[in-house]
Amino acid sequence: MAIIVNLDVMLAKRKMSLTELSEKVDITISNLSILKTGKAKAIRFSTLETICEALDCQPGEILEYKQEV
Amino acid sequence: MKVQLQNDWTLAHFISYIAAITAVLLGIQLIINIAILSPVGMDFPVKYTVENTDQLSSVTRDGLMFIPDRQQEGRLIVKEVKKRSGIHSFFLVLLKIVKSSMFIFCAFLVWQIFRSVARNKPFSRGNYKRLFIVGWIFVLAELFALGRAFYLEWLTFDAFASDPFTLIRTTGDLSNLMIIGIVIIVIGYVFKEGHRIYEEQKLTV
Repeated sequence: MAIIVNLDVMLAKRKMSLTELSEKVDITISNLSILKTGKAKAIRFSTLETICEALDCQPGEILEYKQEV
Repeated sequence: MKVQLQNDWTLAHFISYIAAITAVLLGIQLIINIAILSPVGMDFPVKYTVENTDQLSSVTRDGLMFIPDRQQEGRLIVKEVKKRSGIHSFFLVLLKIVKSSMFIFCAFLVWQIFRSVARNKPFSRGNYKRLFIVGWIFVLAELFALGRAFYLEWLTFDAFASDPFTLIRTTGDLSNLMIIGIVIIVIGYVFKEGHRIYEEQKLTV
């Protein structure tokens, strides 16, 4: 997929584990794992909003577009 | 095939049991056909009109017994042909076995589809594939029946060649099986789309 999810990078920058984020944003670890591994097909604005709030970042820092070769 | 009664008696459960029972009954019918009926001669459905005759009794030509269904304005409507022996008899019995087996398989697939619906998993990958298979089996069964009808025509037409009777072919019309098959294939495409949407929804965070 051309959209890359940099959730792991942001988690590392904020020194936060996936479990901690899961507790903060009230999303199951399995769903966050789907997002982190790039298996997700879509992301709701509400989910993006809560993640950005928890990680104190912008959506552009989590999502990145890379052209497929 | 294991049938277990569920506590939740939904319509899907009910239909799945009906399909399972149908598959078993079709299997028993097939066994009876092979074991009991094939040695004494099997009935094969045909659609013939015999002209220039007023007798309402069975006509036998070249080992083929034409069983009249009804008489209509000096014509004899034949809906069944009995073949007792010979290579053609074996071939016709084989065709009947293949067709019956196809329908047993269909009943088995329908049982699987409704079982998964009863388990609240209607849009699984397997279901739309099963629907496609059932639909194509119905379409093929129709073509199969058509082929068998032409084969029977070819067999039976010669029986009346040197006879004052005139045999009019009335086979060749497609029945509802093909239409049902096409409808099932269309439903299969709907389920395929349903599966795609379901998967997308499942992977939406």
